[in-house]
Amino acid sequence: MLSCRATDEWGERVTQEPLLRLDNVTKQFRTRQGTMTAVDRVSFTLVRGEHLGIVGASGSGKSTVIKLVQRLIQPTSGDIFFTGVDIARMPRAELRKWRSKMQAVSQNPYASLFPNKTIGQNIVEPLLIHRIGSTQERKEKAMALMEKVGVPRNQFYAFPHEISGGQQQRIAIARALALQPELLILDEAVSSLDVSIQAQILHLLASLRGEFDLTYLFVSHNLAVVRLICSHVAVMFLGRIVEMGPIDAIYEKPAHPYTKALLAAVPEFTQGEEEAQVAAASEPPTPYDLPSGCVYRTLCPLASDRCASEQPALQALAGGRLAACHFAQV
Amino acid sequence: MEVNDLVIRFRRDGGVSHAVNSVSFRVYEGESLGIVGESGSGKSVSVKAVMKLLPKHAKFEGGDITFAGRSILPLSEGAIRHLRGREVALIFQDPHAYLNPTKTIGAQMVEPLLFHRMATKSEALVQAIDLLRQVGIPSPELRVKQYPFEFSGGMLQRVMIAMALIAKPKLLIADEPTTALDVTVQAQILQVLRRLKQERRMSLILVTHDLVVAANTCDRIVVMYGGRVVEQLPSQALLSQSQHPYTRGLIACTPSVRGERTLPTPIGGAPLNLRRPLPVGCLFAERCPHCMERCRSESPVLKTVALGHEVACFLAEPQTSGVSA
Repeated sequence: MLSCRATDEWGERVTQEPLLRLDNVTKQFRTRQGTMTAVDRVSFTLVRGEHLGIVGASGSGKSTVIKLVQRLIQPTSGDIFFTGVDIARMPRAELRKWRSKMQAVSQNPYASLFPNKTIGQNIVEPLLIHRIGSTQERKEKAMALMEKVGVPRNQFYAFPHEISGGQQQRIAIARALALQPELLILDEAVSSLDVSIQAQILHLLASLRGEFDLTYLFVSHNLAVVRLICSHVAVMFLGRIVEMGPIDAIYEKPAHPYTKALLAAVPEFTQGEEEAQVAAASEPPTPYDLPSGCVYRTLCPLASDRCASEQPALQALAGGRLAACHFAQV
Repeated sequence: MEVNDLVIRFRRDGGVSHAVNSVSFRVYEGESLGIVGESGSGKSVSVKAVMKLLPKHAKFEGGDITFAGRSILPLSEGAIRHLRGREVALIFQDPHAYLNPTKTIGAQMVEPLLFHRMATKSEALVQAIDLLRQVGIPSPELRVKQYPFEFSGGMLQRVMIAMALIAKPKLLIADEPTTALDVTVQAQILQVLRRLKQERRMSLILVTHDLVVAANTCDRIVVMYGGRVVEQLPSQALLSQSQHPYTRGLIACTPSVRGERTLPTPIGGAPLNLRRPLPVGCLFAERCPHCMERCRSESPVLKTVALGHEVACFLAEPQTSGVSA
């Protein structure tokens, strides 16, 4: 079984019970141009107290993975276990119970809040849907959550457009926490924020993690941000996980050529250092017609005949990591 | 290109938005200037003003823009058109929004040349193919016959760059050209921009929210906040010599994939709301960790602290050691 080992590097409670497990999950979309494989046999295990970041370029399937986890779409094949229960083919009515245990925060806070409801009503909404507490209790809970996420209580009756983007994202986080979820899905949750505000939200996420016993599934194209919030990372390329494991190991010594290229491309303040070599321009293959063997081979500097004929499987390497490359070594 | 004391306000629905509040910067021939700031800092509005591309409700309330010694503001729309595309070219964040989906790439690329009567159609096409090759598009002979939808986002942004350069402009203005792109593609596009600026001895203004991108691509950096320039300095001096608390704050809150894995230090508070009346004094005072009484009553002006390095802060001090500008 492909699994990321729990670590206690953040000094937080870590148990071995898997909260979320994806087993060979595939999602295909039928379109006019043919069948497109958005997610191709993805497996991972997320243990309570671990925080998994999913990174990859646009079109790599990372957003499809979290839509599958939330069961907003149904997998073509494969199983999704949440708290040990298979939710992959569960009927809608039954799903509701499990969905309260997983909440999501999206990229655009303004679009995710009801513009015609006050801040307070927005936070109370999930409690209403799940019929939790009395009116007074709900209001108190919302006030308490606002305080936790750093929005003053007097904003309770303000509307979303009256507060700043950073505050809106804090409210979206407060609303996600209202049902006391175990899994918090962060879909590019800080990507649209200015860097000074982004840093504030990262601090907030780091402090809530311990306080609410949360497990994060953090999807982002920003590798630097994922490194700060997550304990583990999965790198996706064209629907497949190409490398996965503990953050430090992978960021310090990436094993897969794609992870290497991705990390090298992140702009960094250089102090007179030599500039990193930039790979030549080339188009990634289309998901409608994936290349044989390794999906990365048409862009890979290491590609050989074997990569065209044989698809590399994720194999375990030293340091608890997995990489899908015939030439991977640490 | 020189911009002096530019003031721009937007009037809409009875409200006034103080988008640009006295901004000055200049770009020399063959130089690249990075204009950095967060949303609402006025960076985009400032450069759009340079080519008079602002909507009708934007009002120039002061200042002057000159290009190659000529004042731009009094020019008629026709005269501006003569500059646009030929002397000054622009590229934006979303190439899809600026390309005609019903015309081939080749047909769109030669438009500036034909408009300015700089080449015949067949000559222009040869130039277009050559430029596409220079910006790193494989098999350009085939690509010119294709439509925008047949290109990926990164490839389309290369097309935009090639198209902007076809009339051999003296100045290229790039407004967030890589923001919508994946990091690997971003690195490629920035490399193309750096190389072409070098080869063609052209001036470049890069507008970006990303301080790192600006520092790695440009010779000089202008940091904007609340529609004002707060610091202006050579890129090499950014890390070691920058003085404005906002610039230092931006550097501190930029996360990295290298080094210590510690959370970045955020800048407190929220960005200035430009739809409200501007506060008296320094616009950054409310978020500044070093705010003094004076900052709330008096507005700091840019003062020179070293060669090519200006800071708008009362705490700024002249540098004793020389900075290579």
